[in-house]
Amino acid sequence: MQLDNLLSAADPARHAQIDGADSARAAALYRRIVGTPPSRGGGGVPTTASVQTHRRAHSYRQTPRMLPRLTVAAAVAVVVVAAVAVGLVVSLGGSPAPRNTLASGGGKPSASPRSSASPRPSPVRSSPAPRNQASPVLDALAGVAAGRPPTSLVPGPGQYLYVLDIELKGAPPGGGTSMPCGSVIRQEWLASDGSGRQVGYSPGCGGNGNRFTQSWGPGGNGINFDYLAWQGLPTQPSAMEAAIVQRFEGGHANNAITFLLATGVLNFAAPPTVRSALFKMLATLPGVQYLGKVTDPLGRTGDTIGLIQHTLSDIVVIFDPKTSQVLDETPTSQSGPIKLPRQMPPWLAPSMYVETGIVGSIQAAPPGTSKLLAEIPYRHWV
Amino acid sequence: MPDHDPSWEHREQRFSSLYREHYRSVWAYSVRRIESQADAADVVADVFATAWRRLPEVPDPPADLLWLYGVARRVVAGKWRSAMRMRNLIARLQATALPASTVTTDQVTDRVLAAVASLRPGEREAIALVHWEQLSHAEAAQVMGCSANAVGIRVHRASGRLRQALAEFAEARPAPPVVRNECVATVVPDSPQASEG
Repeated sequence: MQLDNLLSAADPARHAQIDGADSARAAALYRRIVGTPPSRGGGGVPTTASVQTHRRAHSYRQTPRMLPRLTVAAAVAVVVVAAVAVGLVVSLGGSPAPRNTLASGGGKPSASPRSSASPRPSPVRSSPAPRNQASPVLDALAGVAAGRPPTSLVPGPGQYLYVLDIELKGAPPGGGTSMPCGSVIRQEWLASDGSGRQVGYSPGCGGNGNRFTQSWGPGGNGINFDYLAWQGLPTQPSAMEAAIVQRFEGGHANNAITFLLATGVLNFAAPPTVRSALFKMLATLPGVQYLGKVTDPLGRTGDTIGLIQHTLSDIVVIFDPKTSQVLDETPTSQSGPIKLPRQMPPWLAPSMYVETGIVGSIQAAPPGTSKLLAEIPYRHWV
Repeated sequence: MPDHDPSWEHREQRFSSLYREHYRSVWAYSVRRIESQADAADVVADVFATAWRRLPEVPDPPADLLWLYGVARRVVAGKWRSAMRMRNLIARLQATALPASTVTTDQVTDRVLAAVASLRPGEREAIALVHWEQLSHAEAAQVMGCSANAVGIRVHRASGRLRQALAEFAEARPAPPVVRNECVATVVPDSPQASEG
C-alpha cells in the first residue's frame, strides 16, 4: 500500500466525532467567547452547510473516536498485573509500599518473550545472565548509587516531589532562527497520591504564549509513567526486570522500553537501593553500550550509555559518575556506529535534568533553585 | 453589552463568519494532534478565543484558516510539552515492535499513527498539514512560519522515515539520509506563531 493511502486511512479525524459549527457545543462555545447569543449580528448559529464552503471535502466517519489505545492497553495490562502483584512484592522483596495500582509491585517472574525486534530470554534466570559491553561502567554506577545517602524522594503528606528539567529543541549550528518556542524549562510537582502540577516556560517566545501550566488530580495525569513509578519494584535485579516487563511492557519484554525506563523515569528519583539494582539490571540487558564521556550544554561531564538499535527510538543517557545521577537524555538517529561529540552541542536536543527535591507546597522549589535558574544560559539555546 | 455599537456588530459578524467557516476544520486539526477529546475541545476554544481577541489581525480568506491553524499549532505545542517524554518514546517503540503477522486494520492504523508520532515535531507537523489538512507546501509554510522549501524538505524526510517505520505496509523506496541539522525555519514576519501570544 502506498504511504499516501496509509496516512489517509489513519487520519484521526476520519475516526473522530467532529462537531459541526451548528452543534450545541459549538453554539455554547461561541456564546462563551463572544458573550452574546450567536444568532445576533447576522452571523447566526453557524451551519454545517456553510462550513463546507471553500473547504476540501473530508469524509468524516461519525463514529466514536478510537480512544487512546496505548493508554487503554497499558491500563488493561496494569489491571492484569495488579492481580498478582501483592504477593510478589512479599516474595521478591520490594521497595517501599506502592501508592497506586501502577506502583503495586513486580509482576510474576514468568516467561516474558522479548519482542521480535529485540529478542531476549525470560528476565528471571537460573544462571548468571551474560553481561554487556557497558557492564563495567554500569557496575561502577551501581556501586556509587548504593553508596549515596539514603534520602528518599517519596513525598509525605502535604509534600511534593519537585523535578526541574530543560528540554532543548535544537538551535542549529552556525546560527539561524530555530523554531519559535523550541526549548522548554519545565518544573513538575508530584504528590504521593499521583496528583501534581507542571509549569513550563519557553524563553524563545514572547507574549503570554511562552508559558504553560497543567494540574491533575489523584488519578494522575493520564500518563503511565511518572517519577514515583519505581515504588513497589523489587530490588533484586532479575526480579526487578521481570516486574518492569510485567508492569510497563504488557508482559512482552522489549529491550528498548526496559532501557528507557531503567535509565530515565524510574531511575531519576528512586532511592539508592532501587537505583543500584537498576544499574545492575542494565548491565545484563543485551545491546547496551558505553559510548564514552560527554560534556553537556550545562558543562556537566558524564558517562554515556546507550541501547543502539538504529531505530527511531534510540536514546543515549548520560550519568554523572560521581553521583550516578541521570544528567541528560538525548535522541540519536545515526545509522552507523555512534560517535558522540565530547562537547554536546545544544542542537542535539538533550533533555537535561537539573534539580530534584522534596518541597512543602505545590509551588515551592528547593533552596537554591532560583539562583540555579538564573545561571542557566538558556538564552543562548533558544 | 454594546448591542448598539456598529463596530461591535461588524466585529461579531466577522467572527461569526470565521467561526462558521472554520470551526470544523479547527476541530479536525485538533483531533489529529491530540488524543483526548477534552483536550481537543480546549484547543478549539483557545484558538477561537484568540481569534476573537485578535480579530483585526486575522487575515482575509483564504489566509484566515491558515492563521487559525498557526494559532492551533501553538496551542497544541503547549499541550505536547505538558506531556511526559516517555509517552512519545513508548509510541515510537510500539511503531516498530508489533509483529507484522498479527496486525489487524486497527493495528495498522495504530502503527501508522505511532510512526507519525515518532517523527520530529517539525516533520510531523509538515506531514500532517500536507496529508491531513491537505495544504500545499506554501500554505503549510505559512502555518509553520518557515519557507515552502523547508516544508518540502521536512515532508520528504518524514516520508522516508515513515516508509522505514512502515516498511511492511508501505511501498519500499530508498530512505533519505538522516541529517542531524534540522531545516532552519524562516519566520514569516506576519505568521501567527511569530506574534501569537
